[in-house]
Amino acid sequence: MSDARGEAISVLPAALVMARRLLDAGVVVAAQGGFSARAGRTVVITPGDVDWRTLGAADLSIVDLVSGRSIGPRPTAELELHLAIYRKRKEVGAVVRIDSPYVKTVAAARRPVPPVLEELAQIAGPTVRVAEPALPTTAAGVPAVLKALRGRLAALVASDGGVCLGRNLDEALLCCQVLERGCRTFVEAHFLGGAKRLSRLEAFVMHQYYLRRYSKVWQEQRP
Amino acid sequence: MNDIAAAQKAVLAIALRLADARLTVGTYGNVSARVGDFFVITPSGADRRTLRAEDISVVDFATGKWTGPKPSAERALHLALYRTRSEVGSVIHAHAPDACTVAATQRELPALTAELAQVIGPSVRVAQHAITGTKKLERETLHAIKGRQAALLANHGAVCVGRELEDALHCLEVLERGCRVFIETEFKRAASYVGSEPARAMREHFLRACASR
Repeated sequence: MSDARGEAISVLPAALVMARRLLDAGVVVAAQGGFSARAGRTVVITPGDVDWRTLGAADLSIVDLVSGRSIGPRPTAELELHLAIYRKRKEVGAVVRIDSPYVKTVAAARRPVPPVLEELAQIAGPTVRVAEPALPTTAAGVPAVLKALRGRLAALVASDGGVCLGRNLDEALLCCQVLERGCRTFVEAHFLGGAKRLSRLEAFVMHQYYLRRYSKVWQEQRP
Repeated sequence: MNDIAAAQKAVLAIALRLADARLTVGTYGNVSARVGDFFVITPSGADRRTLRAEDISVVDFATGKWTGPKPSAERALHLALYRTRSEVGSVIHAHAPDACTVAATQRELPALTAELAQVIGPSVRVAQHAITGTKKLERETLHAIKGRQAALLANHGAVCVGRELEDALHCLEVLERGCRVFIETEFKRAASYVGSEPARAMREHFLRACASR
């Protein structure tokens, strides 16, 4: 996998910058579940037990998508979930296991998040489902999470946190921010008598419009 | 054209401050300023980290035509505000988190703080939900913001206006603080005293339960 390795090495700097941005944005706190980025036929992924504030290129592992073999330090225990997402969802370029405060609260309450804000519907999808795997964070829990992610860029994992996807690193970060904000609105709107939700159809159309059109406008003008 | 270049710079600076103050997220939100027969506005979907002053679009009031990158999808709303409110020199649309929460509940924000009453008006109304860029959104927003310096957009965010950019930004900050106060005071109101009769009954029930153990 020497060619593939070269490809993976080229994304290491961007992956390190992204780990820092995820911390700074407050969407990743304990960093247990990890963050990964696709690089051709390989995946660059964070380790399970290294402080992200001191994360260096040597701490990231490079994993072959087909064989699952890794080079470098031991990847996060949730490697199987990351790999399964990349294998199933060809469009996905980055995966983040988010554990920010409001996401954890809603995940603990096991409440799916309705489309309470346009931005949530646009980016995460028409609703955010809760995956309830019997054993979260293990390979046995992977199918439940994949199912919850169907047609979405985000899902919650019961009693644990969430998973956010992006076609690129920036989109995965945005998805994390929007999910945390959406969960906060969902929780705090209860103090005011509850949020009114967008209709299912509106929310569905917004997500599709975002995926196909809005997200591309700037790239077309400033390639 | 010097005025336009200066306005582009000023709009960019405010757009960056919005992001730094976490008053919006990602590429969401847009900022504009009136300059004579034109207004300058942040472009659609722009990544703030690479945005330059010359990327700020210039829109002609009379024709609605623009130069530079495609202006924000919210440009029609900005245009409508400038046309109907001659005193308005700047418009900011943002997804401030607490404003978003109140907007999601579609409840009118009362003036719970003196600064909100002074800077924005007696309350902040919620414009009914409508898709971005539609006539309906324009209509609902103009209706909601009448006699005010701000309005919430249902399930979406906030719009603030001001004589100048700094005024509109200040308005947004006041709105966001007002929304926080609203959320937290309503939260406290929900935690109400059980009442003297029920409290006595609870105490008696507890004592009886203890005695029979």
